[in-house]
Amino acid sequence: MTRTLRLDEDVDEALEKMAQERGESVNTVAGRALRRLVEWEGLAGSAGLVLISPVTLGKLMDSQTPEQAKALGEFVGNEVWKPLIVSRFVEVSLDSVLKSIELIGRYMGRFNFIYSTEGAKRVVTIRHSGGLNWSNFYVGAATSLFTETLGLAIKPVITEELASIEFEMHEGKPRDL
Amino acid sequence: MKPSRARTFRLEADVDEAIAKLAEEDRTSLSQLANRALRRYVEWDRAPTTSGFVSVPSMLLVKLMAELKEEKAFELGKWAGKQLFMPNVKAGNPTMSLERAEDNIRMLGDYGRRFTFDHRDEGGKHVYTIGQKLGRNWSAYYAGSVESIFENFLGKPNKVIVSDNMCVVEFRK
Repeated sequence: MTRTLRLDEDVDEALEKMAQERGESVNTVAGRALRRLVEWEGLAGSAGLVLISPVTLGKLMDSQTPEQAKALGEFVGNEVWKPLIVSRFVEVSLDSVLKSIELIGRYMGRFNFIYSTEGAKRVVTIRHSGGLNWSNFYVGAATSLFTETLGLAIKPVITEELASIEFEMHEGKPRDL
Repeated sequence: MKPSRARTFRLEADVDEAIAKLAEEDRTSLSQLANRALRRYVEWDRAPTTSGFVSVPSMLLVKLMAELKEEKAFELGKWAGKQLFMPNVKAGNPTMSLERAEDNIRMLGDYGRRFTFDHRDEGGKHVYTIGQKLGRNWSAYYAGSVESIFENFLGKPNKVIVSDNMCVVEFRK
């Protein structure tokens, strides 16, 4: 679809400069910004998301014990991510949970999300650079979504740079590991 | 009215439909809506003080700060002002000024959604106020940040007030 929009000159110039620096077209940069607006900004506002330096955030997370970090993840999973999934997708299902994690990773800027399947086995991996406490945090959040909400038995694995959970599905239904 | 120019974009159909719907809901024109979103995108992304910032739920910040003693929160704020804010602003433009520091803090507040920032200059007395809703320790954190940023220009503050929802830092030059 083509759209002609009237932009403030300074915005238009900044867009051109950004596109040039990134080796992209103005159309690509603007398209990404507008997609962010429709996919994320409304949700971010209603979910009470705020922006912070990752360094400050890292210092605060480092001051927690691993158990506290995991509990914080459970808290955020229940109080923020779950309502966000309902708001965006209405139904809380494996599909909407996975789509939401992908969305959260893309726009919250803290992790990469990988989902793999092998037979009945499903693995959700979150790669990040925040250290062990953030891995515990993500496992906490995953516990709230996959176990408490979807009723899946999960097997978590954590390292300094990733948190992954494994579960099994048979004919669309969960099975205890 | 700001000078403007027309630009034609090729948008993916789902994005085009969604922005048209948003504009209708907001009772604004598509151009105004897109302008706001694009301004935010380019200004936030290009600002040296905010580059690489991440989104987090405000509730998480409340909990993360809750266990800290108020003095520690103040010290963390001082550290952030000195070690993060000032070097980042200088990286964008080495010529630092009081006004540039104020502009950058204002932008952090506007786009970051964590606080509001106000400055009053009363005949050589500078009063900085930060309002926020994340609890007393965050007020202490901002008081530390404001102190460490503006003491570069105005010397030591003569008054620092911290409450649950705001901090006030006063400098008399």
